[in-house]
Amino acid sequence: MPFTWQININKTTGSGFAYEPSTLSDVAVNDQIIWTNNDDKPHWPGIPGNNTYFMANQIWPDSSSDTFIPGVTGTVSYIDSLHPTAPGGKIVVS
Amino acid sequence: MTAVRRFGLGAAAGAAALLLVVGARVPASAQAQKIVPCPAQGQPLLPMPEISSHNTGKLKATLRLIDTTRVLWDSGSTPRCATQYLRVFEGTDPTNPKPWPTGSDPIPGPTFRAKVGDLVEITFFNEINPLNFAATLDHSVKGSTAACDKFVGSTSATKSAPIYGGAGGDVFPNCLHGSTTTNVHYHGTHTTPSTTGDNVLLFVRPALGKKPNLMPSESQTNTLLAPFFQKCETSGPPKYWKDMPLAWQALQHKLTLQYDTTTSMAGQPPPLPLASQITPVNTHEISQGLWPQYHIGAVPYCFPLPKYDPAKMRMGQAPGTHWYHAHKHGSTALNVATGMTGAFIIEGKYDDDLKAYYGAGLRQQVLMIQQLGTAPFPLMTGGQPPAPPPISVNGRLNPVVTMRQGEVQMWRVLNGAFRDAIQFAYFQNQSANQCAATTPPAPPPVQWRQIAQDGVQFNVANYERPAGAVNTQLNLAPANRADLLVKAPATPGTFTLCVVRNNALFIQNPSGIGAPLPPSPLLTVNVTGTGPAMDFIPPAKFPTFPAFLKDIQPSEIHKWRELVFGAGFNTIDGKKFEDGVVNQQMTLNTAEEWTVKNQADDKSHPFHIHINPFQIIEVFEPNAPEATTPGNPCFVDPNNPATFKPCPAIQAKVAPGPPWWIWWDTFAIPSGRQIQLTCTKATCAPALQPYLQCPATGNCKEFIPGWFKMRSRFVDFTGQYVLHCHILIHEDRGMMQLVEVISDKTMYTHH
Repeated sequence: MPFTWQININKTTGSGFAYEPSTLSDVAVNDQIIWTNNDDKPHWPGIPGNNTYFMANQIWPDSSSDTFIPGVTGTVSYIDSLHPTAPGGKIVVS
Repeated sequence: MTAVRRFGLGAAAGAAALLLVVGARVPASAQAQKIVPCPAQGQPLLPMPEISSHNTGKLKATLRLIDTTRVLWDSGSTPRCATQYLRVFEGTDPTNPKPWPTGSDPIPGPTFRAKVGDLVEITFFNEINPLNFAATLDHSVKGSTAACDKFVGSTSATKSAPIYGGAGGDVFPNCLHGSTTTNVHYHGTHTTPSTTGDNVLLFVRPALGKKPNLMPSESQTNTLLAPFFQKCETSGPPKYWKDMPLAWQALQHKLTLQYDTTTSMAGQPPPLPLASQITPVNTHEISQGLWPQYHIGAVPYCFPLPKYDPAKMRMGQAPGTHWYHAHKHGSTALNVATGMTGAFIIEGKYDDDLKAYYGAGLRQQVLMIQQLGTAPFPLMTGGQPPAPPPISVNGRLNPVVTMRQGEVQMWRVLNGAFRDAIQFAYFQNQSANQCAATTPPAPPPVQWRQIAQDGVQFNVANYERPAGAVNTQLNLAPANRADLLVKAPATPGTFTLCVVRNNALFIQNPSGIGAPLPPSPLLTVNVTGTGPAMDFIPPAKFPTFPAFLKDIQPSEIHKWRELVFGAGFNTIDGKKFEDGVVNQQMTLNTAEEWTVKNQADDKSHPFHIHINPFQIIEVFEPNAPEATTPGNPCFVDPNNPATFKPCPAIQAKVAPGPPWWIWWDTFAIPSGRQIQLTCTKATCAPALQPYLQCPATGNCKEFIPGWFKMRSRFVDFTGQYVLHCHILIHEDRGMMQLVEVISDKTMYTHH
């Protein structure tokens, strides 16, 4: 039975934001992952240039994402497509 | 609906590259949900906190739905455990408030204990934070997937797919959705299904805002609803929304408007699109004199547990082991899987009679079986699905029940699993975390006798016969309950109760389709110490059988019906749940006889209907070992429809009688048999034609449905409620019908 993991998108100083945890570990291939947007602006986690993988929609402030199921092992490095220069996060699937 | 923006097509496209490195590892950072050591098995059974009516005639309680982290275990080949956000019930007795247990065990909600004749007064609060769970919405256009829960996989085929989507997949309202919204079904109660009764058509959304500033607050709710409960105590449940306190009506309207105007959908800014707003739905329903469907943060439940009075009622509330659980269409499976269940013990003369024989020495155990997880099951992500969640009792795996040597205890066993049937197989003479696949020990070291089914006591004839389990196999489909008298051996020792998880098929054909998993431990009995000698209650002292539970006679039958649960696609009578359509309409204070068929050959859909229990009078199991053995008198010959009928040797196991049929409120419909034939529609034997499904060209398939016949009295309460499959993911996906009991009286006079 899979587990469900939450990644918070938290507001930091200024207009910054941060993923908590920045690296999500111990994820199994069938586990579920959600992003929760606690910031005051939209975010859109995903893999740039690959529109068949990751979130279909941006995440509006004060809401959460659909479920992401990795399906394969490895390390997924993601960024926020709306703020591509900001630091991204990682999901370690084993 | 606003068009969904596609990821990767904006300014960010191409800004970075996918990094998917197989086997790479990085240091973990702090997180609320994390892998933790698994709790040891063999810990003491946790007694659930109880909220009682204290002999006041009123069961007053606060029931909260909260989100919190608890330790869950998975069921993979390498066991792992993790702290997980769960949506769980906790409760408070307002007359004796105590802190709710704060441990890491995923325990069920409080056990309610009331008496027949009591008035139930429960204020239910939904205080979960939706942000701790995946995006989910309550309302949308029928037939669309806009409000269905979605998952995003790693392939183009699973790109933002509805869960159980694809061609011919789930659409609203028969899709997983709205799991932060809930209600409470008081399973086994004989009461009003309307307004503030056992009303599962309510949708109670989470309170708005964040703790400690939730709207509505508990104090505000309690203040505004106090006059409602006072009125309910004198006049009973309200009939109309206009009977509720005006301030409560106004507050709920304000909050639904606020929900509609502040909620985001599919990443778009508020307000919700009109098709997903809930205020217009409520406004229309109230204008039609109906109880509004959507509520924010809290609802009051106030309803009687009626005591049988032949001058006023046709039936009464059966005293026994009942339960409550979440029951919002689209999220029952997920919500029950996350632990939204609790026991509801309703005491009556049954208990008085047991106490008269045993005195105060009959100790009780309330055993809530659960199958806990945070994801829909089975997942449809392709590949090999994970194993179903393990079975726990009161929040622990294989807990220990302590008994004295020779002691008899009363076990109230509830199968609150969202999916699996649980078969009691045998006790083995050792304490072990794995059950030996050997012949059960004889004589059994720990003995039991069944005294009630689904919260309705046995007639002494069935206790003597015996109709239930006696040291042998007892199969509890999801939602079934059984009261057992369990007797410990006279010598000390530890004994493991081994059970088999199954699709309710084991009693039919253990080697057939859907064969069960190997036995596994449910709990361990530790027998130690001495006490007064005890034995099973003698038949002469067995609890008196209530008059209102007398058998339903053929002469009482007002109408006959047939329902067919389909093979695949979650249908009843060929259709998924039709929002707004009443499928079965019964006349108040009449009895009916239903034949309920199952075309599936891989599972026994557990049929459940609310409000009134029913008696099983006939069972046809075409996959029973006897029915599949040529030469056996019970053999069901696919070429001879004359053999498609119940066989006494099989039926005696599950539906003995008459007289004194057993009462149930959930019964697993025996699975059907499917046979691929080598003839076409034109060439198959005429006698088989009613059982064939044939393609336009090619050979036909023969369907021999399993079925049961039941009789029920639709008495005392009018209103709308539901029947459904209690494999709850089936219910969420459409295997449900709306039923209505209509009045047998009219205000008009005719001359």
